[in-house]
This record gives sequence, structure tokens and C-alpha cells, in this order.
Amino acid sequence: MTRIPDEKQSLIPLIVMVCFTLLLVTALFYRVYQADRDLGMMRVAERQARLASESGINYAIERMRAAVASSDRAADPAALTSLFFSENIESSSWTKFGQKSPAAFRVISIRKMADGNKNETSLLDEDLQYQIIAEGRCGGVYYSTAAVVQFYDLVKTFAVFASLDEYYYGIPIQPWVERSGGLEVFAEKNAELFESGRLSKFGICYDPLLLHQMYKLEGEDPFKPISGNVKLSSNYGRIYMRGGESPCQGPLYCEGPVVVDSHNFFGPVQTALYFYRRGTSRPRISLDNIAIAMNSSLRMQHAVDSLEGRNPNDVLIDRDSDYYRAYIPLWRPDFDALREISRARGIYIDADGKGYINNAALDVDYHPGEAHLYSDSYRGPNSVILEQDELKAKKYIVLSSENNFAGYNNISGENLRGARILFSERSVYLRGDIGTDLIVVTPGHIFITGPTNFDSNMSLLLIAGEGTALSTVDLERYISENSANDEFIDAAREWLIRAAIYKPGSGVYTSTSRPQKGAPLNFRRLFSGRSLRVHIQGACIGGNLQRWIDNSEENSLRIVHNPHVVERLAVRPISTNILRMRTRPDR
Amino acid sequence: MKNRKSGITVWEIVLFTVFLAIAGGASVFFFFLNSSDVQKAQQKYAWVQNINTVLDDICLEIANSAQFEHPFSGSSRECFFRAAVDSSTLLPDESQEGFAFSDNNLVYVSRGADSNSPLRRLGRYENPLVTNCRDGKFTRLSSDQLEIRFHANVPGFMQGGREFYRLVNLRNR
Repeated sequence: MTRIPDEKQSLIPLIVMVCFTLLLVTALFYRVYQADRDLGMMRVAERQARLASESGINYAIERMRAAVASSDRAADPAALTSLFFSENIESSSWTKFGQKSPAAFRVISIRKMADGNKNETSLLDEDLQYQIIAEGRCGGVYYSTAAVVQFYDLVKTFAVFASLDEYYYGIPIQPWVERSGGLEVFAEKNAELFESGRLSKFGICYDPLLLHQMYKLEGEDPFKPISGNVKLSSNYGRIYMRGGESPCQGPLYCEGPVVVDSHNFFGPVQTALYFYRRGTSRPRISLDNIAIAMNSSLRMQHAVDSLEGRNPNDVLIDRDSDYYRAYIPLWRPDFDALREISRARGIYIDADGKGYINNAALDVDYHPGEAHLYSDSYRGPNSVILEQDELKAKKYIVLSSENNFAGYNNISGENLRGARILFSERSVYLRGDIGTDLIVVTPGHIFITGPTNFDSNMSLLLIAGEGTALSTVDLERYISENSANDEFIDAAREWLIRAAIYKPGSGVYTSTSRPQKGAPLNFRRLFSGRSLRVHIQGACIGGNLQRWIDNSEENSLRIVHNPHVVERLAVRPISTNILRMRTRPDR
Repeated sequence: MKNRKSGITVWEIVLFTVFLAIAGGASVFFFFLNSSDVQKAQQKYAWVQNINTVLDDICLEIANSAQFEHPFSGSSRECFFRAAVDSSTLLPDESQEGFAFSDNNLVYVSRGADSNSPLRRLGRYENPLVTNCRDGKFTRLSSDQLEIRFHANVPGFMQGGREFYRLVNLRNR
């Protein structure tokens, strides 16, 4: 055994004491740190439990939205029972929330509220309200949230839903982005505006004062000068005008701000952002007894009043939207579900253009073809150059009742065999009268080539993933082949469309379409000096109607609301948002 | 070679000094813990925490309001809202509730159709909710954001004060 030398033996107790003291000090510091952290964590846990319970509501809404989009229950909103939702969404087990935190939520109740529809709230259907209760927990803290959720039957409620956003707002930052040579440069120069959230990169303004600066008549350039360029001499308001009459005859909803001069509306107007009446203009609504929901327009008015003196009161009711919640999210179709529905009990047309009904081959010619297309020219909200859509090797089918194909009508009631839904993997050219109530679905484009579904009383819903466009190729060919007279052209250039259209305004295609080479391509005055006129009876959902307005006869586009245009169909565009919400701790 | 022992080694002197320092430091530390400065600091900490808890509950109440009425824009010394009724509809209540900075206090007020009394209580708190505060204001930053800001003086004879600040996201603007 080794023996510890004498002189080292005296050191051992000292070393033990030193180590022990150090340990004590470390433990003390650690304890203080832990106590502090626990106090902090308690506050964090409270916050996280609250967020978890509210995210439970959002989770439930998203699940409800998905359930409605993928099910044919939406055909009849009355069939959207509590049970339909609660079976799938309610649960007694906790769903983890977040990646690192122990927070979790669960949805414990979804109930339909039976208040009965009220007449005074014309844009709100009280029969489609649901109450959701969700719980959130983190550590030992529990919170619960109760929310009232509203469903909107979009076609029944609105004539135009978010399709006229650009028409009523313009593209206010585009000239600046174009001059700075890119969105990034512009955003960098005006970083403060973008970072504070007052302006989005699509040019949507969330700040009333900035909106006023951008749109006031005779205003100065509100943005910082781009390096190398001098400050512009004016604001966007000098080139933006919105007088005249609204193309929308019925209730209108805009997702962005609405900026108007002495403009005439034909129905209630609802916007998720500001309603700005410029200067001393007098916008009007040419229909009485209708409620108007305009979010925060009064707030806008306060901002303007303090800057340029009080505006006169006139016909528009300026008030905060009380029971109308401002933002309604856009309806998104579920193409996979629609494909399944049409395979099971509709007509499915595969990528080769062959049709199947209830999975059995269908002996109907859909005239499959292929084309290379160029659209009209347009500018997006932050375009640097003039844009043009080029559709390379676009595969399509033609659905037509007109005498183009030797009188062969592939959308007659007989050829549709009573199907209510038609899904095509290829893009669709569409014209004529349809034999049954029908939903036409394609992930590609739908090209409307003439008057559609007008002489019948059938329902029609057009759902195109890439948007619904106009194509005048057939009409132009007919006119040149038959050397038609002016009288015929005058009648034929007026297209009546009786349908609800998802994503309208996705361009105009003509036989003179070509790659734009510097010069913008516009199809006004297409028929020896005369332009297309488009009248829609039904509703428009999403998309952007500006390009149809730019390429058709001035002030000719009309959308007349027909709330019954999607009746008897298997799918109905339904959107949902939160009306009211309350979060409280569970003690 | 054999080490010769000659009284105290350098090691022992160093260690002795270290322990003397620790002992001295510890006694100073315990005197410090007992001192009125630390007690004041502890009271101040408790005071800050108390205000924070009250503020948290105020924020929750405002954030849950079914309808927020005042200030509509800009800033004000008081705010008013309608809480949701206790039913599944969550519709706004008839009576208004609110908070006001008056006489250097933050108080809870409620006014119904027939009365305007500061006597109703906010949950477990009694009026005034916060005492001895100045420059208090409610600022409506945007349609769905309200800012509460005030400067509170430490109670008693202690010096100083603190700025309190909360940003409330109104759920049902």
C-alpha cells in the first residue's frame, strides 16, 4: 500500500473544505437562478396555454373548412349539422402544440347555434353559426376559449367576392417598383413601412394615414426616393380614378381597401380593410334599405378629417362594422376530393381526353386538342415589366353545344347522362347551353368561348385551378369564314354567361395573340373596331376581373347577382371565419 | 533530500487568508440581506409583480371584450367596452365596463343604462386597481390593437417609479 507523505496529509481536509465551499456557492447560485426561471416560466406557461387554447379554435376551423370543401354536404348548408363536425374534430385527448413546449390543446365541443336568420343582417346568415369550445394547457395552467364561427354561403351572399379588389384599389406601388428595378430595392429603401406592417409587398396598405398619402388628390410622393432616381412628382392618387358605376350589381366584398371618387354602387359594400372616399366626392349606393358593412371607414374618416377639414356627410353610412366581422377568407376548392366525387358519381375525363361515367368508359367525343397560347398584357401589383401568360402545349377538351363540330353537342342532357359534376384533367373550352345542373372542374384553365348556359334555367359552377379566361378564337374564325355582317357581329360580341365563376379574369386569348415585343397587347376593338361585352348572371369568387375589364368594351362588364345559380349542385363555395371569441383561465 | 519543517508554509497562509475572506464576505452578505435596502428591493419587486398581475387580468378582460367602444382612435385616459354575456352567443352585454386613470389611480368602472358606479369589482381586485400612477393613457394603435401605458410611483417614502406598458390584441374589434 502506498503511503501518503506526511506533508500532504495536512492538505486533505483543506481541499475538502475548499471544494465544499465552492459547491455550496454554486448550489446557491443555481437555486436563485432556478427560482427566477420558475417565476418566468409560470408567466410563459400562462401565455402558452392561452395560445394553445386559441390555436385549438383555429385548428377546429381549418378542419371544418377542409370537411366542407371535401364533402358534398356543403350542397345543402342545412346538412352541416353539429354531429357532422363534432364526430371528426372533438376529442378528449390532447394534441401537442408547438415543437419544444409542453403545451397542448383539445377541441371539446362544436355546437350549431339556433338563432334563426335575422332580416336586418343581410350579409350574415345566423343559421350557419357554430359555437366551438377548445381547451389549452401548459404545465399546470389551463385556459379555455369559446368562439362563435360563421359560415358564409358565398354565392348566395355576394355577387362579387374579392374579384374586384384591384379595380377598387389599383396597383399603388407598381410604378415605384418598376422605376426602382425590383421589389427588393424598393422594399429596402422603404424598409420602415414594410417592417412596421403598414404596407405589404403586394401594395396593400394597412395604415389609414399612409393610405391617405398614397391616394389623396394632388398629393406628393409618399415614398423615399430610389437611389439614382429623383423623387416622383406625385402620388398614385393622381393617376387613379374610380368614378362612374360599379360593374357589380349586388353585394360586393373586397379583401383590400376600397378607394372611390363619386362612384355609384348597386348593393351593399363590405371590405376587410378601409373604405376611402377621396376629397369631397360623393359615392352613392343606388339601392335603399340595405345594410352597409364597412370596416373602420369611420377611422379612415377621422384621419382624413384631421388633415383636410371635415368632409360633408352624405349618403354613405360610415360606421364601424359591428356585427359584421371584416375579414372573410377566400374559398379554396379541394381538387382531390372533387376528382373523387366525379369518379364516383359524375363524369371524369382523364389526361388523354377520354371520358368515364361512374368508372365506366363513356362514348362521347370531347374533341381533345393542344394549343400554344399567348394572353393579353397586364401589370401585376409589383410587376417590373409588362407581364404576359404563355401557355405552352396547353392540352384541352371542348365542351360545346354550338354547331362548331357539325352540330355535335357533348353537353346535352343525354350526353351528360344526368351527371352533376364533370372533372377534366385537361383545360376546358366551354360554350353553349348545358343540359343539366353542372359543376365543371379542372386544375387547368377554363376558356369561355361564347355565351354560356343562358337560355336554360340550369345551375352552373365553374371551378378552374388556374383561373377562368375568355377566348374569342372561335368567334373570330366564324366571323371571317362566314364574312358576317355588322349586325351579326354586334349580336355575337355580347356574351351572356349564367354561372358562378371561381377565379374569373384570368386573361383574354384571341386568334391575334402573339408574344408581346415591347408593345402591350390589348384586345379592345377586336371585331373591326368593336369590343367584347361580357355580362355575368350569377357570382364571381376570387380571381381578378381587371383584365377582363381592360380587354372588353369600356364600362360593359356587368355581374348581376343571382343567388340561386349554384342550387342543386353537389358542391357549394362556403367560407368561414370567427365572429366572436373569448379566452379565460380555468381556475 | 529531506524537507525541513519551518513553522507555517506558504500554502497554509494562502488558505488561511482565503477562509478569512470567505468568512468576512459571508458576514457582510448576511448583514446586507438583513438591511432595509434589500427589504425595500423585495417590497418593490412584490409591488411590480402585483401590478403586473393586475395588468395581465386587465389585458385579458379588454382582449375578450365583445365590442370595444372607446377610444375609437387616438389616445384617451379611459377606455370602455362591452363584455360578452355569459351565454353561448357571446353577444355584447348591455352595460359598459371600462378602466380609467383618475386622481392618479387606475380604477375599474362600469356603467349600465341606469347607473354609473365605480363600485363593481373586477374579479378579485378592489378599486383602485393601481394607485399612485401618472401619465396613464389608452392608445388605439389600429383597429385591433390597444396600448396601455402608465408610470407608477413606488409607494411609501421610496424613491423612483417604473413605466408599465402592455399591448392588447383585441380579439373582437
